[in-house]
Amino acid sequence: MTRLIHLSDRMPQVAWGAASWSPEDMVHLASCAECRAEWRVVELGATIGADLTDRMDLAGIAARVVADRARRAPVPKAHSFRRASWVVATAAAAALLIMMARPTSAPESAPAVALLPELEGMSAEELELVLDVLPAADGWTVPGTNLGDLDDGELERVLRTLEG
Amino acid sequence: MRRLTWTGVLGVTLLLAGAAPLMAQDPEVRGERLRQELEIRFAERIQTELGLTEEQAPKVREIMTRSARQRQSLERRERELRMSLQRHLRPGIAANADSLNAAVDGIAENRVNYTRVMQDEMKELLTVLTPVQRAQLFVIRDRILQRAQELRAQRPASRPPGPRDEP
Repeated sequence: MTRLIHLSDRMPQVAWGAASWSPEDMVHLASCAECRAEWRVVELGATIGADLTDRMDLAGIAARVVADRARRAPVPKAHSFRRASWVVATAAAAALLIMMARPTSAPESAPAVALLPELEGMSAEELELVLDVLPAADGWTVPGTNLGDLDDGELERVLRTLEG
Repeated sequence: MRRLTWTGVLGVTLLLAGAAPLMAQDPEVRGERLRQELEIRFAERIQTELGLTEEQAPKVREIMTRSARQRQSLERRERELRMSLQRHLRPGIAANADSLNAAVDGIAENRVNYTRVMQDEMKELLTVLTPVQRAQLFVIRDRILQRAQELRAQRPASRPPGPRDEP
């Protein structure tokens, strides 16, 4: 139960790239269908609108909002405090956006030892292609093999061939 | 009207604030996430395809983790050796025979060690898994590694070589 709560709490961070799964988390995700389904939803949610925001200049938008406010006709003196607070609030929002768009810390370090160290150093594009080998759909079996039909002796021979 | 403007600005700000983390996903972060996804799916496949029992699962994990740690070290060593080899084989620069021999011998030895680690792992797994389970595990991982090697082989010549690239 503790593990379930722990994973649920961390999912948004991992989905946004601010954290990584620990080896224990990954083991649990691999074995718990409920957590995995929840992770899929969070992960998918994090990608919604990604194409749109990739094209947006957040700092530029915030600057233009401030500039637009400054261009407007002077407000009555009685409203000067309100105007100042508005500008401060907008500037603070702009600063917040810039800070959030540029996280100061890298994601938590990757697990020191994974089961597939051979994938280290591969680009995201390459990893996506490797991922095709392991589709997420349920009921997946190793393509081109029907090992269940072989007896132990035959499987040993297959292994010896593969191992050279 | 003023309230409407405020609401609009606030709404846009919140929208952008919510979307900002997505922009932070640079290729390195995305790559790390994909690598973790592969690790999770791999572990999931092993669990489901092999139908590991509660007794088998931790033992298999321990054996595979130990092997992975050794392979990780060998992978990194080979990466260094291959970079060294490339540095000494640059056109127009006189090659240092000793450095070249050390790099080539090191890579050859590294590969022998890599194969030995895999063999030892397979032997050890046979103490925990049935022959069918062990073969299934072998095939699942072999497909991943083969695919990774194919992709590395397709890299342009200017990119640094991967650890398992064949000459």
